[in-house]
Amino acid sequence: MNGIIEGQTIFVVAAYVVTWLTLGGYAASLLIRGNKRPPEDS
Amino acid sequence: MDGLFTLIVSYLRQLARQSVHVYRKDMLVEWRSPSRFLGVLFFAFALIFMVAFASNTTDVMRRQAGGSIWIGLLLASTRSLDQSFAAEMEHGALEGQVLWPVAPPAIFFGKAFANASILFVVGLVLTPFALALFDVTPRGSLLELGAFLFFGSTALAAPGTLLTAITSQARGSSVLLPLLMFPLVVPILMAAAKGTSLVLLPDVMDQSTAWLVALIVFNVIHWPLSALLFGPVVEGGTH
Amino acid sequence: MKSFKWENAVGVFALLLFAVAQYMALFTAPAERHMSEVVRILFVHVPAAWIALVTFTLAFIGATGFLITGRRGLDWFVEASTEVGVVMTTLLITLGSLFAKPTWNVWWVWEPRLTSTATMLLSFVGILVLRSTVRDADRRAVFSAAATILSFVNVPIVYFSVRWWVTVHQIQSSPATVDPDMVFVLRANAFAFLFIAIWMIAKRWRIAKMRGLAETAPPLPPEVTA
Repeated sequence: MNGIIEGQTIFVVAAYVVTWLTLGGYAASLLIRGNKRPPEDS
Repeated sequence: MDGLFTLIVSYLRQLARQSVHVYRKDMLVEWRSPSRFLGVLFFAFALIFMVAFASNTTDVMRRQAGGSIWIGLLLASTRSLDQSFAAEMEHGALEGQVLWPVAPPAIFFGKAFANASILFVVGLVLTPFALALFDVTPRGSLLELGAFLFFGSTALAAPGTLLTAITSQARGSSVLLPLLMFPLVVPILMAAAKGTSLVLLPDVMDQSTAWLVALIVFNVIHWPLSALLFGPVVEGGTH
Repeated sequence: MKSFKWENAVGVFALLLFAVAQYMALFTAPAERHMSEVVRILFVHVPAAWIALVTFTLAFIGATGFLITGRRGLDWFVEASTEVGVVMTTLLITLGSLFAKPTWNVWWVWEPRLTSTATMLLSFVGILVLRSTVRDADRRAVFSAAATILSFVNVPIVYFSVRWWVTVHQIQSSPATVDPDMVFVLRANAFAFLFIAIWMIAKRWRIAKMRGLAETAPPLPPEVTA
């Protein structure tokens, strides 16, 4: 590991945005699916 | 203690006897109309042929020979497995077997070993042609090559048979089987392909035996585990 | 169902913890001392990895429990934890790639951990597809339990075979010396992810339960085993 890498902030930003979008998106899908009643067949 | 021992021995004996019966039944079906075997064989041939076309130079082809044989066998095995259960599903034959006083693990061992046998024979017929097509002269022993084909076939057949028992009862089984099976057989494919390549090409560091041992270990893990899970899978839905 | 749902409390707590932990990871952790800013990716990548493994382990335990007891609730639990595990693993692999590119200048390495993670993801995606194609609830439960057990057992096998397979290549590893400050931030994030995952599994379990109850209109006696 040689250590110093500079000017790669874009990857950090991308990583955190991806994290928030994934977790937030999945949480939203859970809330939406949780509020939807399944179709009553019987 | 002695009584328990006799009980276990008699159970195992019964299991072995029943497995042999199921095995014979499957092989007899195959023997009477070898359409499945021939279909699978030519499917594997076609695959090997296509791989040869897809790789550009003879030098690359030579190095890919071992891997190509196993890709051919793996894809062929999904076809073969699919059909081995399609026949059972047609007239509810599997349900019939489950209702017999036959232990589910015996059905599993019989069917899985039948599948392994067919795959092994396909491999035996396929390999010489593949070697000719890829212009490879084996450097290692042919016996070891045969051992790789055998243990590779059994290692693919065990999880393959269990998963086919599952997918044959689901919709869209032809897509589902590879989807479930491929991730599971990654180590098996790796060991078989790597080992076969080492037998075919000069094996400088003498690693092929280690891969054979790995392949045998995968068999030791997958056969009992799959046999254990087979019971619930074939009985599960029949309430 | 009771009106108070415990997972909502967990959810609120998880959200607060997550906000604090993410703030620390982005702004207060002394990242530059090690590998510049890029090391901050590890504060989300490593927790995602831990929690992904935890959720699949839970799915495995649930599947084993289901095959032994045949309880419906355990099948819903398997469904919930598998889905959350797939989300976490997808996130983990994406973050891993985003870390690998600036540090090693590649998006992907054929390395044991990466390869076994990818194989694990494929396996469990396959199980979700399997669940969606089997209509009968009893069969679906048994099939996915069997496939879950098989897939979970496969993970260490893949790991060790790839480790053996690549011994000729060099194995990349994360920096071994970690600052105590960094460890604290890492732990905070890991706990935030853990509570988020608990909330998600609980929420997903309720959805599975709702669907499961709608599916089998006449209630089955609990002893109906697989």
